[in-house]
Parts: sequence; C-alpha cells; structure tokens
Amino acid sequence: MPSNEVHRFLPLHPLEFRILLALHEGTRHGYAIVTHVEASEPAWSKVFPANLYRRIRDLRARGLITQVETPEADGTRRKYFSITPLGRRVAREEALRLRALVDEAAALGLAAGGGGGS
Amino acid sequence: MSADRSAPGLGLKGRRLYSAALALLPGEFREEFGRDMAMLLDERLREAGVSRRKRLWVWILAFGDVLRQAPWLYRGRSPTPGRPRVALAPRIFGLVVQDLHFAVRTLRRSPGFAAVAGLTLAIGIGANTVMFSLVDGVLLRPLPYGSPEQLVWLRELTDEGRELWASYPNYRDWRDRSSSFRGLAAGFHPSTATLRVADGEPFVGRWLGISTDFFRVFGITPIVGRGLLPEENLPGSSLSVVVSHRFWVEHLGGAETLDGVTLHVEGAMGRDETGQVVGVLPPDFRFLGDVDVWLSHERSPIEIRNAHNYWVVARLRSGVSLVRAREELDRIQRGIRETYPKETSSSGVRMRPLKEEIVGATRRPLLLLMTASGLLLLIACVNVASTLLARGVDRRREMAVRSAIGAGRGHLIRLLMSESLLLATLGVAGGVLLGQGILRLVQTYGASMIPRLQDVRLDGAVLLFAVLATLGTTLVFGLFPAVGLSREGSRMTHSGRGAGRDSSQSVVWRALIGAEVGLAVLLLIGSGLLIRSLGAILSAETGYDGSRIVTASLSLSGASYPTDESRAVFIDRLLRELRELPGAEQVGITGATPMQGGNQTGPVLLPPIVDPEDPDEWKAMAGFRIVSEDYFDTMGIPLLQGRGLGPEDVVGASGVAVINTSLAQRLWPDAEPVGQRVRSLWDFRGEELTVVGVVGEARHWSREAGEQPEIYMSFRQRPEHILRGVTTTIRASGRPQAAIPAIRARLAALDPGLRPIFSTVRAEVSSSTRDRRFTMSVLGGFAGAGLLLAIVGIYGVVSHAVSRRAREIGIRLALGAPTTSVVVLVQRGTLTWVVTGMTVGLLSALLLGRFVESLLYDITATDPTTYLLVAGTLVATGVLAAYVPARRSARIDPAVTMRSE
Repeated sequence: MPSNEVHRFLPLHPLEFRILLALHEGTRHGYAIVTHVEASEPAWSKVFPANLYRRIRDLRARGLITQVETPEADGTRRKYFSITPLGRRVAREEALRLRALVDEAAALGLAAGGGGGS
Repeated sequence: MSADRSAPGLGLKGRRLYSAALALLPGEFREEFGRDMAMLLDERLREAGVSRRKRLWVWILAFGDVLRQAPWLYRGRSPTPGRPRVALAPRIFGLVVQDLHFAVRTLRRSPGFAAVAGLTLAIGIGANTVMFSLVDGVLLRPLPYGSPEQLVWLRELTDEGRELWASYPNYRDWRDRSSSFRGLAAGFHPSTATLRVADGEPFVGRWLGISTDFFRVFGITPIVGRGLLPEENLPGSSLSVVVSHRFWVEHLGGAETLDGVTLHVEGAMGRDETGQVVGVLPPDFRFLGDVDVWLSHERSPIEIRNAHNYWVVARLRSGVSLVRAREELDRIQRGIRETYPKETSSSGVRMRPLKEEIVGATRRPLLLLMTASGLLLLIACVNVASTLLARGVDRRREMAVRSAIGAGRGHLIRLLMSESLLLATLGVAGGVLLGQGILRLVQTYGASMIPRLQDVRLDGAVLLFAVLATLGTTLVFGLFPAVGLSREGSRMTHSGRGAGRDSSQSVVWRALIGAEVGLAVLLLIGSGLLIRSLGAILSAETGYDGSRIVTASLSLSGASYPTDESRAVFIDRLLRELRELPGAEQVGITGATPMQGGNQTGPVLLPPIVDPEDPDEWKAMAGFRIVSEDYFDTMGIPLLQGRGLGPEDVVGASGVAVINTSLAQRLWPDAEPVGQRVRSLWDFRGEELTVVGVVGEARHWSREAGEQPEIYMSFRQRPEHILRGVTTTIRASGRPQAAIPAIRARLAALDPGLRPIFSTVRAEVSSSTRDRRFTMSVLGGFAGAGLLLAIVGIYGVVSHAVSRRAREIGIRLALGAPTTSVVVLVQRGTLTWVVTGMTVGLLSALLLGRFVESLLYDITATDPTTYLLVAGTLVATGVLAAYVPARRSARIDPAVTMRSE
C-alpha cells in the first residue's frame, strides 16, 4: 500500500490515536478502551460516552478499526472493536510523525530531559 | 482504574434520563451506540462511588459531552483529517455569529411575535430576578458581621415553652458563669431620643443601649476612635457614645478626630445627659434596624430578675457546638431558678442562630414568592414554546426547502435554537431592566417589612442567575419545537407532504396548554387564599372608629418640661387649645400611637398582695395605658360599664382605673368588675386601684393580635408616665388630612419644640397589615400574569386549530353540520386539556397547601370557596378564550376554503 494512502489520515486526533493504541494490544470494548487510555496517562481528562463513540464511529468509517463479535463470556453484549491492518499502519505513521516532532523539539532544547536549554 | 462493583450505577431512572439526553443525537448513531454509551456512563457512575457531589458532576459532564458532540455527529463525519483545520473555538464562534445573524433577520421579519414573546419572557425573568435578589440578599448572604455563623440569639424559656427576652441579672449570670462563648452582648430594644450636638439643632434619633462586649461579639471595629471600654459601662460612670457612619457624616461633618466631641441625649434610659463621642461604626453595620447612636446601658441596668427587657447575642467559641452551649446555659439557668425560685419563671434557654432570628419570619413568604415566580417563568416558557410551535407549522415549508437544499437536521435545530436563544436574551435584557425597576420600588415601599432589604442588589450572583435562567428557558421553550419542526422539515422533503391532521405535535401543544393552566391554578389558589386572609384581617374588628382620627406624636423636651407636674399642666393646656380648633370634634391623648405597639405590658395582681414580685400572685398580663379622659370618646371605644376617667382623677385622689372587657373576663369571670381593686406592676406607685369602668376591646397592636387585656389610667393621676413621648388623637369633623395644617399651626404656637409627627389611624392600621399586603399583591400579580398568559395560550391554540382545520370545517358545514357542532369540535381537544390541567392544578394545590398555611388568617389552606372561585374563573376564561376563535370557524365559507386549496 502506498504510503500516501496512510498519510491521508494524518494527523490523528489525540483521542483517536489513543484508541488505536488501546486496540493495538487486542480486542476491547468501549469501557476497556477508556480505562486503558486513562490509565496510560492519568492527567488525561475523563472520556465520556458521546465523545468516545463519535471517534469510534469515525475510525470505523475510515476503516482503521472494525467491530468484532462479542465474546460469549461477556454477558452484557457490549460491542467489541479491534484494529485493522490499515489502522496499525496509520498508528505507526502517526507515532513516527510525533517522534519526528519530539526530536525536533528536543533539538531546539524544548524536550531535553524536561529542562530548558542553558 | 476499575469501577467499584458495589457502588450504584445508572439505575432505571438514570437510564431513562440519559436516553432522553441522547434524543439530541442522530437516530442511527443512537440506535447503534446508545446501549453501549449507557453502559459506559454506568461504569463512570460506579467509579464516582456514593458521593452525591461526584455523581452529580459525572452527570453534568455526561450531558455536556452529549451537547458538545451533537453538532459533530449531525455533520456526518468529523472533519476530514489531513485538511488544514481551523481551530475549533473560532469556528464555533463563526457558526454562532452566523446563526445569530440568521435569527436576527428572522425575528425582524415578525416583530410582533418577537415583541410578545420577548415581553412574556421578560415578565417571567423580571419576576425571578427580583425574587432571586431578595432571597439572595435576605436569606442566602451571610450577615455582615465577623464570622456570623458563630452568633446566636439567646432567650429565656419557661416551663410552658414560652420564650422571653432575658433579664439583666440572668444575662450577667450567663455571661459570668458560661465557658462556651467568646462573649455575650446584651441591650435594649432600639428606641428614640432627642439628640443634640454641641449648639446644633436638636433632632429625634434612634438609640440602642449596649453592653461593653457588643463590638467584640459582633466582630466590628469602629472606623474612627474605639468601642466602649469596660469602665465606661460601670454604674455611675459618665455616658460614652458610639455613632453610626451616617450620623458621623451628617452631624459631625466626618471629623477625623473625636476629641472633645460631645452629644447631648435627652430621654434615653429616662435621663438627660451629655456624653463623649468615642467611636464611629463602619457604614454597612446594621443591627435591629437603623440606629444613630449606641449608648452604654450597663451604667444603669434594670436589676430585676423577672423584667425581661434585654436581647442577648453571644458568640460561640470555635469548636463549641450549639448543643453543648445550650446544655451549659440550661444548667446555669436551672441553678438560677433554684437560687431565686420566686423571681424566675424560666428553667431553660432557647438559642437560635442570629441569622434565623433576623430573617426567620421572612423566609416563608420569600420562598413562597420565589416558588411563585418560578411557576410564572415556567408558564411564560410554555407559552412561548406553544407560540413557537404555532409559528413552526407556518414555517414547515421553509424548513422543507432548507432541508432540501442540504441543511441537516442538526443544522435546522441549531438555527431554530439560536432564534430561541435570541428571544431569551431579549427576555433577559428586558427582565433585568424590569427587575431593576421593581426592586427599586420594593426597596422604597418595603423597607419596614423585609429585614436586610438594604443589602439587596442586582449583582454578579443575580446576573449569573439571569444567564442560567436564559439558558434554562431557551432549552425549555426552544428545544421541543425545534426538534419537532426539524423532524417535520426533513420528513416533508422526503414525502413532499405536510404532517397529518392531528399530528402528535398538536397533542403535545395542547398538553402544554394544560400544563400552563395547571400552573396558573397553583398561583391563583395561593393568591386567592392570601387575599381572603387579608379580607378576614381587615374586617376583624379594631374596636374603634379610626376613620377620621389624626394622630400627632409629640416629644416634650426635658428642658422645657422638667417635672411631671409641668408636663401634666402643659398637656391640659394642649387639650384645651386643640379642642377650640374648628376642625376638631374631640381630642384625647395616649402614651402610644395605636398600631405602633410601644405599650407597656406587665403583670396584674389582686389584693391581698403579699409579694408583688411573686409570679404566683400574677393573675394576668395586661397593657398599661396612660390616657386622657376623652380618649375613649375620641377613638370611639365604647364605655360598657361604670364611668370613664374624669378630671377629678388627679394626683392625690384615690387611684382609679378603667379596664377592658378581656381583662374583666380574665380577672372576674363571674363577678361585677366595677368597684373591684387591682394593681399593675407597671404602676410604680404600687397603689391598689379601684376599677371604675369597663370599656370595649380595642386592638391597639395589630388587627391580627386578637384579644389584649388592658388597663387604663389618667395622665392626671400618673403624670410620671408621660415621659418624653405622647400622642395626641384628634377626631376631625371632616377629612383627617385636611385638619393637619391647623393642628400643626396651633401646636407650633404652643411650643415650637414639640416637633409633631402626624399620621392618621387609618394609615397606621393599613400599615400594620403592610407586609401581608406586600406578599399578597406580589403573589396576586404573579397569578394575574399567569392567568393572562394561560388565556393567551388557550386562545392561540384554538385559533390555530381553526385555521389549520378550515378545510375540514368547510366540508362539514357544506355537508350540513350545525354551527354549534363545529364550534364544539374545534374546542373539544383544547378544553379537555384545560380541564385536565385544572384538575391536576387543584389537586397539587391541595397537596401544597400546607406551605402557605402559616400565612393564612381565619381560613384553612383547603378553603372551598377559594377553590371553587379559582376553578370557576378558569373554566369561564378558558371557555371564553377558546370560544372566541372557535366561533370564527362557524363563519367559514365552505366555497372559499375549498377553492383556496
């Protein structure tokens, strides 16, 4: 797949990126995504339902995630989602893009060891 | 982070509430994710645990989340990534400006509608702004003292549960023996005295006697000088005076130093003396009304254990609870009773937060009025919502066109909501202006009935309230029509047809009218009950004929009338001179102006008297009034038995008294009162008096007070009771006001220093019911406005039904239906809802009645007359409002309507 097809999706909205990261580890339902997002960055403000499902809907519409069958063990019949191969590539490109940004910031002395340049 | 499984989650009610909020989102999104969203919220709530505040916060965030995401979800998809994005805030701002621009254009096209809707909302919001500022200023805001929550008001509590002000010896014992308080202050009720600065003009001012601790207890530091020193409040010390800020500015010229500034005080605590001004209080300090000067009263306290003349305010030590402090005081008071059993009737102490003491009586009326204004605002919202619905029907085509050229449903809702928002903003602007005006009126005319009224203003809190009210009302009256209309708009695009004959919307609309009627019923019943109470109070006998009586309160200066005799001689001359006035039929004097209180009530004893201080010997409590012999005739108080007071009853002659029927009843229920012997503790001479006559009951305090035993003596026999103040009552031959100039001239000729204050008994009587009339007229105004809005609503819905069903009516008439059946047809749907609304309103009024019970006089909260009247009024006006437009339908020309399609 040509990379411009991936670049079309960049930059990702921070919450969308985090959803992709959460799903990178495996299939999850909405609440599991939310707890993952909030656990990895406690300062992140709480994610509420309409916001979450709007992002999920958009990611799914773009083919970055997909809805999968609910495991039988889950009695609540919640919707489960998993990341698509395209989603994985977009997440990786986004990560590289962000790292490039961070490197640039570090080169300017913005992000080196948390302190400013001397 | 995982949720606590044991904490409560969303629950059934919560689920319903959340689904209601989700109705704002597009249907397909809701159907797909609604269930999962609810489950997520459920987990969020479990995380919040059982804390109500946290749970509420989660709910607020969840609603905010829905509102924030709704526009994006209607746009189909979030903005395409990759494309350069305009920052969110400016974009939203741009949209808002665009929408408001649209709304302004739309409303300018129908200025009549905008004016009526804006005015309707302005009335509702104006009423609420005023009531909120009153509630905020009077009830919510802390008192303007240091740490006001620590201040408590203390009273003695008798075994029968009666509350008494404290006596000075008891206060002193509480103060010296308790450890729960940082300080206890005591003082007299505020009173008037003649004040004079150096060689300036004397004037009448209000003074308050206070103890040394006063300023420390209230946490007030004088802005100039100091408070009172303990040695300035010792018996025998000279007078020290602290003055109000206003007094300082007006009479002392705002002097920076108070060295050598003295004030001559006549008639405070029964003395004339000159004192040193030692301090000035901050401008906003107020306690027991406006006071000009604070005087040290402990120099000559009333050392009688059963003379309950003192208020006591104490400051709790921090960390001491009300309960513990009360237990301690109760213990002290029980000790006092054991030591002085005969002089002490109280075995406990009643302790209340100072704030409750000051504003307590106002709380119920104010909250009642606040609720009423809320109801009025709801009615206004319902009304505007129904008008918007009606407009909506006419705008279906417009919506369809907009929808056809690509406006999504969310977009339509946004357009319509911004119209509502604009209307609400107009309403708030008008309402705040209106509220400002009303508040000014209330502050001018309501000063005496609402405590802390000077603290009330339209400030940040009130404006915040207004803004919240705007948002709330916009949601309430705008959302429903907007959602309905946008749905119809998009449906018409698809089907190309309008809504059916009787769409669900018009049912909702009628239900709204029903709700409006129900709310109006509540307001009408409330004000109806108050109006009938006031009627009952006004018709309660005062016991005298006050129609033509002028009262003039005079102050006799100590310099001109140094002795009791000189005062009595002067009054005798005054009476003779006034009687000669052509406009005066009869002239009398009394110690206290009727309806102004200020009378002395004390124990009455019957011989043989062993120990007058022994409460066991007190047969009754009665007012002690000093009058002239013509007082009864002047006031029209009937003499029922024996004789009245006469010119022969002078100092030196044997003491005589006239009593009223309720005292006679109480003392000698089975015996002839005339000729009996009696003694009043207020008569300092301690003489046994012979009852020479019985007069009718006269309500001297207020019309509501009920029976009040009284004992009258002649001023000629007890001149010492005419201290500084005396009231002349003059029965005029014509209009009482017309007699005042002549009386004033005659009084000025007699003594220019009398400084008479004129009034009429009628004015005093009506001002004694002023606070009631205030509550009643405000509530009545709300109810009237509510009824008017309900009528407008009913009229609107029926006329709209007529115009919408013109074709059907035309066909019916063409087929030979009688006119009456057509009229009934168009009214029926609406009147059913009116009657339903009314029934619900009446039932709710029955349930809510107990909240007004304490404000009623002589009727119950379920007074059938009021209910019948209200129901009758509503049915009549409802039928009329529906009939007028329905009648038009009968005049529809079938040919015309059918051709028009």
